[in-house]
Amino acid sequence: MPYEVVSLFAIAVLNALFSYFLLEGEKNKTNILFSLVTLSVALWSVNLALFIASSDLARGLFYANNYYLAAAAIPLLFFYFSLFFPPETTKRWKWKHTLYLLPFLLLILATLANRNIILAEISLDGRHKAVVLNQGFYLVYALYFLFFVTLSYYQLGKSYLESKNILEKIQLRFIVWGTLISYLLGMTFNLFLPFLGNYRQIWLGPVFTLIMVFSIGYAVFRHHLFNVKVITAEVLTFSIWFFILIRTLISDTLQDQIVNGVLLLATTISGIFLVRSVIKEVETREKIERLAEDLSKANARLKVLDQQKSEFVSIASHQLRGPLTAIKGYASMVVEGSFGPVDVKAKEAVRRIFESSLHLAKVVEDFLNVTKIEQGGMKFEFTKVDLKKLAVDTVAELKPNIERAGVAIAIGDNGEKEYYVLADFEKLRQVIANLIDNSVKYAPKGDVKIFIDKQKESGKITLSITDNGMGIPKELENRLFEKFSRGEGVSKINTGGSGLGLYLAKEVIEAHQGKIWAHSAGEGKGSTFFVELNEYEQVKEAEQADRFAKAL
Amino acid sequence: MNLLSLIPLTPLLYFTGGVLCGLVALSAYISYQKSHNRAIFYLSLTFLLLCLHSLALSIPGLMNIHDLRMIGGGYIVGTFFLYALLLTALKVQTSLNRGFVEKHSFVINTIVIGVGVTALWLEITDFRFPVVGAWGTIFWNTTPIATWLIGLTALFYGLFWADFFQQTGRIVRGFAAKLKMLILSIDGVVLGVAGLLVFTSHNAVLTVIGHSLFVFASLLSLLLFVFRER
Repeated sequence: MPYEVVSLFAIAVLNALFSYFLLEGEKNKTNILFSLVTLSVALWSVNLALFIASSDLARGLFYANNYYLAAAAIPLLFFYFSLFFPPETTKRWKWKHTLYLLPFLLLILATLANRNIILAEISLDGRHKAVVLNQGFYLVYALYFLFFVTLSYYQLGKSYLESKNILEKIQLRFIVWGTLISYLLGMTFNLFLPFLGNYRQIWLGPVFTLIMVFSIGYAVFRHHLFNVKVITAEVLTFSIWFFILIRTLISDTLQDQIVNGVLLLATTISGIFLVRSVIKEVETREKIERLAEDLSKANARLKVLDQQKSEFVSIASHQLRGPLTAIKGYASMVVEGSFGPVDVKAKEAVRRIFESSLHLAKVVEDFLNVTKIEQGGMKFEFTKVDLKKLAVDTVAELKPNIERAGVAIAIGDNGEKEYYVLADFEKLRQVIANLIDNSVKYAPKGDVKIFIDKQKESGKITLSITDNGMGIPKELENRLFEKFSRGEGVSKINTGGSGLGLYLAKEVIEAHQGKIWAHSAGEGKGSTFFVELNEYEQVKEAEQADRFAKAL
Repeated sequence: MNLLSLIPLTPLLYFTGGVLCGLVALSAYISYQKSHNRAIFYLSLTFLLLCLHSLALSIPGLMNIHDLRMIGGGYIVGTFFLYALLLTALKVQTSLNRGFVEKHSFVINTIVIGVGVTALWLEITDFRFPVVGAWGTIFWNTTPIATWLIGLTALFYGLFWADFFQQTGRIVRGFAAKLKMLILSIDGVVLGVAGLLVFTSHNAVLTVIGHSLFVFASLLSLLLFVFRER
């Protein structure tokens, strides 16, 4: 087979594959129109190849008319494409657009009416064909061609100038340069040289469409032109098919042609399966990505809702605090007899009101603190705090509760002189009071031991509170410091707990770069709560050393 | 005969180490100007005094290796700088407010001053000419008590410094900070051993090892200013 024919078939296949490939993306007007442009190029190439290959002059004329008509479709379709690119534009098909079809339809009719309207005469000149053009009509044909090409680039240039999208501009640059070079070279060899009497190089025209295919293909890969989902496996498979097809076409012997043909068939079938499975996989991945995106949006929405909830709790708690202070104050005054003598039964009732309001005030305080922590609004003022003194003072403060519960409490240490930690005094006091209070509540009539231990080596001071109360079930030990986590049976003993105390304690201690944890041998076997903080000197030394090392 | 053979080894290595220490002092001073960290200021001063100590011990020898009186005089000046640098180095540690050193700085200062004054008094009152050995190595040839006082002071203080920065390295955060503390700690060990070898040895090989360790420690100190936390 002559090399011109092989080349033209190869170009036709390449353009046909490219046309199919473009339709893989969104099936909008621009994609369909450009796909039709490349399909026309494929038809042009095939008919030109058949024209060159045919030895029958009548058939040759038929193919020649076909390739001229296919070639005429190219600038028309490209012009329509230029009208609707970029796809995001709101341009719509109008009736006046149909008018542009008219010259093409007239050309078809003229060709059907007179088969020699373009080529007046064909004769064989050795291996090639000698062609005599119908100069008058050929000039009209050339003008038609130039008209649509000029109009297309005018449209594309206008779109380029109007576009504010950088990506669109880049895409347009690739389209304009890729197609323009192909057009200019194609028209030189297929339109102008034949007009000047040189018909030998006519086969070169379609070859130059390779420039367009590569330019557009690159823009598809790099700049998301036509929104085609490029799958490497697809491109690879098409390339293999194309390569084997060329081998088949240029095979010298029948044996080679059969072998290559079988190979082409086998790779075509396996390629289809491969591409299908890859496409399926890609679709699944995209689906997962979409789901992950939805999940992330839902998560963000949840965070907003959580924030709104915290704000609501904060506002509500603030609103509750004022009336509660009044209730506490007046109840206390009534109990103390500030408003005159009160009946014993009434006094007892008011005392209960006072105690309940105290408890409610603590719950409100807990809610407010949780909100502050969650909104990052908790402020700490770190100072030098004697942990042992703090523990002793807190025990003294809680003495009425301890005595009422009948608990024996003991405080010990490992014999060091000082137990200074760097802490926010008030917040640490609240944590320790909460822990002691819990131990007293859960070990009625029992023993509570507080021990302060300083480990000089590590620079840590640990405060432990051990009771012989109800203990902690194993399953609760890990989530004891979470919000609202309470063990079964706890509510019978501690009816007033908000379920936030240990959560708050953990947050406060962690803000001190410390640790808090609990240990229990099991239910009914008591429990120990540990608070580990950094020794004051150690923290100060570390800060100073850090500054020194960083500034050096 | 090449140029290197004309230059005595002890003054040459001492001078090299001295120049490097000067660079360390300058870098530390630049860091101090940016941060105004007192400990860095004292570190800069320490290395400046180490530089002066090295120059006092090397320049007379470089000028004339045969002028033993001048070299011996330089040694006395160098000893003064040595004890001054130990006192300044102690200020680096006290500026970092770390436990033992801060609490007992008065006692340590008194010991350093006491030993320093004794060594200097012995060197001046019992002045002896140094001895030039193989390859231009110098044996200082001072009263044995002064020799061992200076050598052991260098060793013990070096180890004390090393332990201090090794402990500090444990409490600082970040890789670069830990690495810097490690460098200072290694500096302490190397300079301590170098001091012992250089001041007490009467053996050319041991003296050269001591000088080399000193140059190595100076080079290592320059690395302090290379690493930055990202």
